[in-house]
Amino acid sequence: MTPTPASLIELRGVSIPARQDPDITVVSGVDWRVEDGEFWVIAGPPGCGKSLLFEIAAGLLAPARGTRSVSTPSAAGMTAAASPSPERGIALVFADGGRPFNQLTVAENVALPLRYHRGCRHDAVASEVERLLDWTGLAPHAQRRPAILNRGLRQRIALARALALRPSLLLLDNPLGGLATSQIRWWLNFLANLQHAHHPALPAPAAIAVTTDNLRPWVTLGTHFALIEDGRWRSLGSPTEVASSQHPAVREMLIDPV
Amino acid sequence: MLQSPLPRSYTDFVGQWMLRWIDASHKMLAFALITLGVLATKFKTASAVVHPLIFEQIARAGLGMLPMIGFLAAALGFVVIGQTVAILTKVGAQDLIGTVMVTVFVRELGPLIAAMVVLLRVGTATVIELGMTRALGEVEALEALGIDPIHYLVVPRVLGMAIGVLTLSSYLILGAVFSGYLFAFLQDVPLTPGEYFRQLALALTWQDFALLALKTMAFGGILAVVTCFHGLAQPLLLAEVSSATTRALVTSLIACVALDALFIVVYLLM
Repeated sequence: MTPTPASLIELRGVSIPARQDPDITVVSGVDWRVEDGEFWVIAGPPGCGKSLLFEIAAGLLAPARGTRSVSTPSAAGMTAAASPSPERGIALVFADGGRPFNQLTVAENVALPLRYHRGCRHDAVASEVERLLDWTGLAPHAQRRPAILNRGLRQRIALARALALRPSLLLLDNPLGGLATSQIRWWLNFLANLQHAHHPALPAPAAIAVTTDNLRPWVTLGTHFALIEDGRWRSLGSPTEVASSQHPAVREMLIDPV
Repeated sequence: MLQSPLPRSYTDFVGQWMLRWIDASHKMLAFALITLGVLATKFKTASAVVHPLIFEQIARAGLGMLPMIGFLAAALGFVVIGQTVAILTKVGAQDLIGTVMVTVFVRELGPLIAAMVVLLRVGTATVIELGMTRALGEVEALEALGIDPIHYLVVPRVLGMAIGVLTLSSYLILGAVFSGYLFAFLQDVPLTPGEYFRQLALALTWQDFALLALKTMAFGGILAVVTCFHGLAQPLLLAEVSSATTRALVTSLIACVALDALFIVVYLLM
């Protein structure tokens, strides 16, 4: 009998509270377990609670009910020296531009988590920052402020900043939202490389989870799918099961946008 | 049952206002204690990142304010000290010059004016900056990276403003004392520089220096805690940043005046 792989994160019976009023439950009954090497796609209409779910997973928000358990550092298999902050095994890239720090340059944004957790000067992390900027195509913008860059590039700053911590679980909140086709293609290629080719930016094996309101781009990339609809969590299974699903919300999210 | 002399709506209004005030004070005190805890426990953490921010804030609240403080010191010296010296000399009360100068400038005007300058120039900017940071979700972004927002955003401002108000008060007092004598000299007041400074030295005690340091750093700390609290400690929308700024300025002003009143009691007991 093969042993059950260790979960990176497990949410059991979690209820997600509304941001403005914690007494209101937005989603209930979330049972979510993420393991090494998985690529999760969490679908749902805008405002259904996907972002709040990721905030709970990242430890930024307490669930109204249920438990959250994390075992990322051991799963990452990193030494303390390789990981600037072993407890930061989960990285979250926010939606709508990723929330870069506008008072810092692009390079300073990417260097900040490394410098903070290692307690070092910018020079000490310059080569790592350069590599992250190269991977994410941000090198030409290194000395610019995020405010003057477009949404797609700002989102990449947040991605590079999150990858700087070499997370075991990378959470991407609606990474393709509002992006141009070329940007979408870049993101899908980059994430495919991260997942399949054991990109040096992520410890291998690692897991990725994304939220979306359009399943089409993710069908070939995702390994596990789930749907949040009408305040309920529903596991959709594998890509094959998603493709053959007759659920109206899933069918709608699979059709070509008009 | 006791009958209120005021219509019910007035007493309700005052009661609700009092409850809101108590709630806000309670939250602000908790924020101040958390900040002190972080300052004490994390002062050496990530020093390569946080210490340059502390120096930046000291430069902003101290060095950056020097031209303004220089102007105010000259103006206040001319207006207050120059006239006081001239009047006291006219009525033959030259012996009181030192006591009056120390009471008016070292104990009261110097610290309070320096605190108000820092509040207007740096405190306002702090609420707006942190309010924008909060409204744009950058605080959560810091937390997601494992960076403590109090450590990264609040601690440098608290130290910057505390040290800024202390140093600016000292420069303001020194500048006003010198410019005041200059004004008295121009009015042909028969008071030698030696006598003027001898009287000042006689009126000053070591407690004045200790209390000046304590008071000015407390003013700076209050300004920083109140402005950071209003900008950072509660969820804000971009449209609410302006009202948060106004609330922070009024609260800071009231808190500084209240603390000043407490120090008057200490001075009277000396």
